[in-house]
Amino acid sequence: MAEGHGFVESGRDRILSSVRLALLSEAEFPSSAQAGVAVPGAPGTPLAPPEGEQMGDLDLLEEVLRDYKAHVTRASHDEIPNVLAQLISDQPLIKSVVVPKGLDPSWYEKITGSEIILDLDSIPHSELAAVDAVITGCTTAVAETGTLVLSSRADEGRRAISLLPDFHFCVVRSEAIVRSVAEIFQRADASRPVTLISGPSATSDIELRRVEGVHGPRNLFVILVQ
Amino acid sequence: MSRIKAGFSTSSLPRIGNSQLRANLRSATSSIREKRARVVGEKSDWEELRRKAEKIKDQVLNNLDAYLTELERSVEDVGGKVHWARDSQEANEIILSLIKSHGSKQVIKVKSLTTDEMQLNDFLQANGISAYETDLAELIVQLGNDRPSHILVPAIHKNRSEIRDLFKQTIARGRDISDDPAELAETSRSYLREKFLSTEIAISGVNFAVAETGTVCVVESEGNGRMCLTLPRVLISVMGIEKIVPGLDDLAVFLELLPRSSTGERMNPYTSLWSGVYPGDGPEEFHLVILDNRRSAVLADPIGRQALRCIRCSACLNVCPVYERSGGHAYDSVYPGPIGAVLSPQLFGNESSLSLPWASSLCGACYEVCPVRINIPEVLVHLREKVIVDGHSSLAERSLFAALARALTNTTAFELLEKVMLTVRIPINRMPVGGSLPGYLGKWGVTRDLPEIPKMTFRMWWRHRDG
Amino acid sequence: MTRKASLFVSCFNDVLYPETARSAIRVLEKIGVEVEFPSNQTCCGQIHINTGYSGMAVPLVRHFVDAFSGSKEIVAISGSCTATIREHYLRMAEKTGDLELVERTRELVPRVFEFSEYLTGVLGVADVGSSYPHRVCYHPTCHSLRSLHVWDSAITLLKAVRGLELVDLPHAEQCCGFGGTFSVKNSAMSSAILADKVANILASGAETVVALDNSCLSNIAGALKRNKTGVSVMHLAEVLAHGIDREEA
Ligand code: SF4
Repeated sequence: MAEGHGFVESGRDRILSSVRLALLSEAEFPSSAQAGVAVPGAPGTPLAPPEGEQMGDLDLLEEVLRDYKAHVTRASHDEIPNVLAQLISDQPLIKSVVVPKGLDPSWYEKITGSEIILDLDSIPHSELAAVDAVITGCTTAVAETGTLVLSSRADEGRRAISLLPDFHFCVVRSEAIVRSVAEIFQRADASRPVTLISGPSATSDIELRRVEGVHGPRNLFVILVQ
Repeated sequence: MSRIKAGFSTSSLPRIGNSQLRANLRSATSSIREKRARVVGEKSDWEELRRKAEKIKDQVLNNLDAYLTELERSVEDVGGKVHWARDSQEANEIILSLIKSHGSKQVIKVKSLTTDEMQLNDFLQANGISAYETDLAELIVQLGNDRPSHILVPAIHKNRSEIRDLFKQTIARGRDISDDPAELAETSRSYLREKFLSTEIAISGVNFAVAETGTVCVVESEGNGRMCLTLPRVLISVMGIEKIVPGLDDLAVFLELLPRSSTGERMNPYTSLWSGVYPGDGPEEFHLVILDNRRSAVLADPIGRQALRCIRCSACLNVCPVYERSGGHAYDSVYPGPIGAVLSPQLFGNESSLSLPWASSLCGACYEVCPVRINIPEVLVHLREKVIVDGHSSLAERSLFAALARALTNTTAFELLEKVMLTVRIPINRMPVGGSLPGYLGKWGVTRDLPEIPKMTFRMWWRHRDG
Repeated sequence: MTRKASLFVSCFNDVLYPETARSAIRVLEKIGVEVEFPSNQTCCGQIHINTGYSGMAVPLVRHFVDAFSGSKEIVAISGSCTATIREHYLRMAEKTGDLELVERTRELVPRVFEFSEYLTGVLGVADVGSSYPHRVCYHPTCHSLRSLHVWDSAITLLKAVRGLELVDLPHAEQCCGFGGTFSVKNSAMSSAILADKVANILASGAETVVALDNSCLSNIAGALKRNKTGVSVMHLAEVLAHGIDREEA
């Protein structure tokens, strides 16, 4: 390892010095945006007004999520336990549900017919892979892009639990919704692992035909709480 | 001897005539073009975002040494280990020694062009280590001993029945499968699931690395990225030196631009961000390999360097009339299409890349869609000049252009040249059309008639009119 | 005071398409512009620059700047020549280190206009009184569309032409495959792109294809003729010059 270390050091210094050398050849290059008359203007296709500009964040989020083929249900805060119980009992494939430690226990106490597994960070991945569903909260959600942001908080759990089960139920409180991607990092702390989820897993690798569901959860249920 | 003679015009030739390839490519690129246009149209501030992104990248490139050291510090502060590699060889060695130090024999990989550039998989294989690609398209390419032909959709050249046949021979384990894309995707899911759960080490690329916080970002669709980034005990990520953004707000700009430009979605299904190691969630060890591989040399070229702004969205490929008809393989590089035509000659400078700057009609469609405003036609013209100055054009061509330039800077000589043309206009106009003509005329003549030379030049008429 | 404009014809048009230049003069004179032809002009250097012989083209830049030193407004009848001047001249002049040339180039470049841009943008003219009773499609050449952004001006002018029926050209924004020496260096590729352009033209049902650049039009016409399609090509200036004198009365 010591040998490897010396090797690495010299690579670092040489890279930095060749970068510095490259930058010396001309102190600062004006980017084409500022380079005098010779620059063509911005391509001038007039753009349509953004879709849903008039729409409120909650409605827009719902519309975009549905576009991704996510299932969206609205609920009041008090309805969460019943709505979750109903959604899960509607899915005969769900025999077990994992929940993060910090999730409000009242949310899953009404669920019957499926085993509830509390994640105490010790369940091995191979066992998690056999669990059918997961319920999480979310840090924030972006209306314009239908993005759910998870950041390993107590009600979201570690990343593996929202990845391996095939059904993901995500509860989004309306206060958590922001308009655009630009606002994500005002809400989410990037020193934690952050995952942005926009619809169920998908691929377009075969003839660019979109197929929902490859490796991540193939079913995404969003409960919007007003 | 001209070294640029052979090259793209030859390698693209058989592909232009391949109607299956053409049909696959045409339907793929045109559908993605339409999707892109639709979601870009939704953002009224698209132009502003592009200009912001351009500025951010230029800011990074102009101060790259400082940003690199800042990134190194912040990654190490959050428990990651940074490695520096001057070239592919060094990067491959670093990765190999990391794998060996854990006593592993296999790794899983999430799509990374940079590791393709390094030919990491071949290197590992030669050293007894199996690297499994987990992205569906990369898997298709790997199983077929094929090469990627598109940045984003590496198997764009294969249709569903070709993929079905390939899967049946390889990973379907004797099951009969149909060519339904959903079933093909399911086949790869069950094949890879076990690999995700049992492999100790994952290797990923990097879309963006945030200097200020040491946060690394990978953008994907299928969830194979999340699997690789979350489940294994050790994570090794490889990035080119140009992948840095200063802060998280800058990153957000690119997260708006990339999916819309790339897959034509408002947002791609999954984006993962992590900062070093986080107790209780994800890998216990994180290594970031920072690769130069001639990027610092590209940085020294005031015009060519803008290619380092590229975020590998592939929008330029999808609008390129040349790419649409040649496919990616004709470029003979991991970076095909317009961006490949400007990046490959600069990064690799190998013989097959020397003809690439001419593989364009300079139509500018690439520049128009590029989310970081790389003026690709400008770089192409610049590289043409560079290749010629380096002495790679034929003597005949150089002499022709030199003589022409002399005639054109001297009005008398120019008028004389015009008169010569007029005296031979009748035989020229009567010339049998077709590809049998010499040189450029013949190349033109295969599919096109020549314009007829009129009796009088404009300037003769003007003099006449002036009395 | 009458407005004066200097015509930049380009080497290509001078020899092969003098009719376009004559038409441009008729149109400009019709709307009261006095046209000059600085006789020292030759070529903007586009072929050299785009093929990679930028170094050899530096004297051409100087020659151009000299030839038009006495001109106020310069009107070019080629979109790609106009784009060449705007995109390359200043940088090339700067490379010579000749500060006087840089200054003169900087001063000259903003005075060069593409023909349709000059009519609609500078003079504010939309209708010059032409008539051309035919079915026409417009091919926006790549340089006019993506470097000069003059899509609108040509359409505005065409719409005002009496009797002219403007039909949609499918995938109009796609390149015709010309690209200067690209058309011979990558001739098979160029021809493949051109074949689609021709198919789209035929699908449009137009009798005439109009554009702002005779170089692209010579490419398109070459294939239209070879395939005996009966469809003709015309520079915008020629369409606008059509029937222009008759209307005067
Ligand atoms: S050059 Fe621009 S358009 Fe092409 S892949 Fe890179 S970022 Fe995308």
